[in-house]
Amino acid sequence: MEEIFNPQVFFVFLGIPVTKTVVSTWVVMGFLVLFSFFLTRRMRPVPTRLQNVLELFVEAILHLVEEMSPGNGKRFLPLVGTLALFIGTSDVAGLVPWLKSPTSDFNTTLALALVVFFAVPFYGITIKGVRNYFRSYLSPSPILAPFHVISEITRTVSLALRLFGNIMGEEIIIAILFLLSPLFLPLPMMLFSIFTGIIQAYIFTVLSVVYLSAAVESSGH
Amino acid sequence: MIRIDRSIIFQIINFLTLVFLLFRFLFKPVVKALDERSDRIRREFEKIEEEKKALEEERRRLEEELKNLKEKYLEMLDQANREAQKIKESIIQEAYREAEKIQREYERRAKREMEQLLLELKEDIVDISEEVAKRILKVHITPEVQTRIIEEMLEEAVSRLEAQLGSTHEG
Repeated sequence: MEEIFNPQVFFVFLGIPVTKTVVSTWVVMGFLVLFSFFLTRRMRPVPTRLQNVLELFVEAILHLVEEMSPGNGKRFLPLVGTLALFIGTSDVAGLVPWLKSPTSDFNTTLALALVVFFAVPFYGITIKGVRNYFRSYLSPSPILAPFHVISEITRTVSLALRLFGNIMGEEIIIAILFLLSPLFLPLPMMLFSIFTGIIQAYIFTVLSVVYLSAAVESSGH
Repeated sequence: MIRIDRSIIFQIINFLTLVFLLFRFLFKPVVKALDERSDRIRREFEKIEEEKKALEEERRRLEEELKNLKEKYLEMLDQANREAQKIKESIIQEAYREAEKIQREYERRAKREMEQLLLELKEDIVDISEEVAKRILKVHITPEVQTRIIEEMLEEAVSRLEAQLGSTHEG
């Protein structure tokens, strides 16, 4: 149980601790990259079953972004798609023996939320320009500018905490059930965690798209 | 409970690396495949649309040609009718002319035969009259009286015959 809150440190690299969460993240990354590489190595004009699944996923992300921010689907796809895939896979990675869900570590969820936090002004400035982007902070009144900044910080923290809380909560429940009865009892909760893991990935992704699309809106708020 | 340590730096780098790798190995090829498919479908649609347009153009051209042919056919039919009418009229005229010619020929022939008959009849009457007169005069008439009577009878017979011939000719 202790390991849930304080992940095991394998080694320290340049003064940065390489925890079990980081190693699990590498495993998830490796799986996703290899899976993608082998699937997209030979794309066929008439798609195979797995290629269809990939295309369906990419089209779903594109559709999600285009609905909220028309014309920016392909621009946001790498970030939003990676968020969805990484969080979804990380959420269920905890079910694999030895592995730990990277998203059950606040450092991971905060890292993801920080990436979104910095991606918002990055895309906003890229698309609207520096003046137009920062002008939106003064709308509807310059007095509200600090509140806009506070809102962006709090929503980033809430994004990180929501995901972390849900996934860590599931892992704690599964761990408790495992302690009570290692056989069969944790199974329903493990199945349920697959479902909630995907839901949480979806929520994180949708909220990220909402923040990004709000940052690149062309008209004033 | 919640601890933020320096491993967050690793996680940020990890995630950004994953964004790059997935862009390179997943999103780019899939989007490319999707775009290529959309392009191919769009090109197919454009091709179909062009073929449809070409077929429509061909149909319009054929309809125009058919209309022209119909007009030409009607014109030719009209011309043929007019020519047939002309031929018919000329044939009828020719037939009338031929009929008149035949009629004239028969009339001429009938007249000639009639004149011949009249001449023969005249001669017969003269012969009979002479015979009658001879027989009567043998009994009690002088030769002068006999000649005058014969002439009167002859004239009367000729005028009667001519009157009869005239009525026959009119009929």
